[in-house]
Amino acid sequence: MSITFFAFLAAFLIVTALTASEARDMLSAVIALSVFGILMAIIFVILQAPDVALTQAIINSGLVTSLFLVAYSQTRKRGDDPDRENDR
Amino acid sequence: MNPVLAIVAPFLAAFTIPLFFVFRKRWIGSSIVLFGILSALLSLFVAAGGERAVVMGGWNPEVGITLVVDSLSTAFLILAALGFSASLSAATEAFGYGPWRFYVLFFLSWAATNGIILTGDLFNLFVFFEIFSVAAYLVVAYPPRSWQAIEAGFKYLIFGTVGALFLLIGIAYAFMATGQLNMAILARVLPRAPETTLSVVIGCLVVGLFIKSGTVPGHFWLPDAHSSAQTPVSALLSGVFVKVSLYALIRLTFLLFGNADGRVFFVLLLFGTVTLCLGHLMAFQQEDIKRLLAYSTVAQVGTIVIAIGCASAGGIAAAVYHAFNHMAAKMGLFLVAGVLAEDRASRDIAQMRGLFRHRPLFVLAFCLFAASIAGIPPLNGFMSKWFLLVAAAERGALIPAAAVVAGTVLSAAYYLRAITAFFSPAETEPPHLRPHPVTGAIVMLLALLGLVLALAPYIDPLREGLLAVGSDTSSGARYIGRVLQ
Amino acid sequence: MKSPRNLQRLGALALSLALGWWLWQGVTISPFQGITGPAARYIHGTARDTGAANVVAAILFDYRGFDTLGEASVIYTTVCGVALLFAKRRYRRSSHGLSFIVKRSMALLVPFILLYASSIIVMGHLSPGGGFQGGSVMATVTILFCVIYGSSFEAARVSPKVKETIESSGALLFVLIGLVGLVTGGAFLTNIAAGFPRGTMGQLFSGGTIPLLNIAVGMKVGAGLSTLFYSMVKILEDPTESSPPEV
Repeated sequence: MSITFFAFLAAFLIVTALTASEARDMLSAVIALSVFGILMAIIFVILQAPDVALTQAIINSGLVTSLFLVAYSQTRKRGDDPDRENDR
Repeated sequence: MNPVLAIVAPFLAAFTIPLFFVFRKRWIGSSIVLFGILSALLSLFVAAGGERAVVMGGWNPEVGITLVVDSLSTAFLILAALGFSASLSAATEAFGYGPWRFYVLFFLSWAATNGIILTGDLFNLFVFFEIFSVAAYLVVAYPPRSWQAIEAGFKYLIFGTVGALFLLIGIAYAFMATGQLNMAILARVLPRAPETTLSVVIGCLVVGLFIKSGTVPGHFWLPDAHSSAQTPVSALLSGVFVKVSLYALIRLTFLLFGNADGRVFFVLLLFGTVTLCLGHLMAFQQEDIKRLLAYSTVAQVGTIVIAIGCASAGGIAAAVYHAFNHMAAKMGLFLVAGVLAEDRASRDIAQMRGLFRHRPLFVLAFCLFAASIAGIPPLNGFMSKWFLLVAAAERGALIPAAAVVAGTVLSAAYYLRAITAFFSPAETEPPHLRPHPVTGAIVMLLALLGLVLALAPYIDPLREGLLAVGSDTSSGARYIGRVLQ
Repeated sequence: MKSPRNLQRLGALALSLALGWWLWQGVTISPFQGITGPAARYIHGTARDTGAANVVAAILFDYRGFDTLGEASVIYTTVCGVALLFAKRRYRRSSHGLSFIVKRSMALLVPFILLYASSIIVMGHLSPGGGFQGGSVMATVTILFCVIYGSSFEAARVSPKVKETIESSGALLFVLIGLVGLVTGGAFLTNIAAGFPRGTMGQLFSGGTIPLLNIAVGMKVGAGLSTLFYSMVKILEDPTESSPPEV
């Protein structure tokens, strides 16, 4: 894999991580976290570590995302108005 | 006796109790007690078996994972066995046998503690630290009835995860620089690493262990966690859990960094002194008795870090001796405070007046433990502080020594405030007095342990043992020889 | 109102950059061009020492199997704690799941997903995969059941007690295999030296204890993660005054 592709992946990784921590809407943050995990899996494949990539892809996209979505959907159950911006 | 059995026994307990819950509910209570006795006995047998090193899977030490029993591990193994047994007894009385998952977490933390103490491999240390930490976060927040317990557990989780992250970065850099994970081999190879890598390794490991043990500036979780947890859990946290991180600090500092860099010890002295002062000052202002005890734990952690920072055999001996004394005294203090707080249904000191008439033995035990931890001669706390002052004077660390003395005076003052509340006459009777036979017995046994420890400098086997711990650990050559023979 | 928060974020950014710069300064690439130390021993010795084809599986379950016991125990601890803290007195009603088309498609797919998960677990010593990965896929199937059919269906299919039994049995199996190694071979978690059959490298029945440990970890992780998700999902549902389940 060429160095430009790797640099693009790394930059995308940083952007996703920043989005996950800085996003105002929590759903966007959760989805950014999921994308982060997929990117990590791709990078692991490029670094020739298939076991780690398999584990990362399954656990991050399958399990961690669903757990985060479960936690996220609980935060909306308290009667908040979904249009009002949440205070951080 | 193979050292792995001290780790396997609590694991077996933790993995079997759920099966009992599914198939034979009646056996849960007796199984908890039996597994507790088994784990304690196996830990003591492993500790008594002499110095040895075994490798898991029969490989050589470079490739496999080594478990090492040396004098420092023996001391802390005994400490953990005593602490966990006492806490288990108190927990069975306080919670009953219903919440079986709590006991599963308890045994998992016991297995992890024994693992941290026995392991000779750096990454294995991190794995056991993870089990230990997760079990600790969960056990602090149990039961999640009040928001304080949940917030304390959450705060501990965040801080502990950051500490574990620094620990992992330090371990990763050590592996990157040398390619080895065995601690004995690293002791030989790590000092040859480049200066910047070595500074990252030392910095990250020290910061990680500071956060885990509750040294300033990573102490913010400790008062909340130790005060909001249930009483047997608080006793366990203050008595055993902080000692485990301090054990890792002693082991890593002297094995890996002892020869490489003398500045580590200056950092330890500095932060130890700050922790001591901050702990005592904050404890002086507390109205809540469990929070007072928690800040006192912070101060004692600072004392032990100062002892480690003295960088000598005498310092390590003082640190181990003080760890034992603090365990005996603080566990007793927390158990008594829990009983008294339950009587008054409040943890406020001002409301705990007149309890001497209703629970005389408990209050007298509290006085004994408080005098011991404050450092009143001739009790055990004074003995270990004396060892520490001698070691500090040898090193020329006069400011920490002065801080220890000032801390003694201050802690006597705030403990005296609590004790006068107990002895002063009360306006109202406590609503109900539940009998606590098992907790009372444990408190008496801990008092007895404290008295035995107070005589330790005069009992030859104990004194020789302590001094041997100091001299064996400070050089590291004996450990390396034991592993790589 | 924005200013202090922006200052805080700026401070956090500066701290992250400083930490990153410090860590970057510490990075060393080893001066030797080859691989030395334990890594070399793992690569050159796996086929001879363990009989497994997958070096990662050999490291995870043979050379450093004790670490894997610890890692699986971390998951065990987390699951136990979540089930302890999310106490169940409050919830009963389950959702009805998604539409009929999704349900029928799912029913067609589930056997294949389970087969795939089993193959990942069992062939962990031959190809990338192993107990953790396969167990997670099995847990994903139960998550899909919860989402698509509703959690009451999922609890009826695989009741929490069965999951608890599987999880603990997997954990006990791991420890017992290690103890067998202790009794016969002289050290905990001994593989070939304790008499486990090595077999021919590349065959399904090879590698000694490694397939067995893979299955044990697969049971532990799969049942554990499934219990974890189930404990969390039950919070979403509205409370009624039915009697609490006894998990």
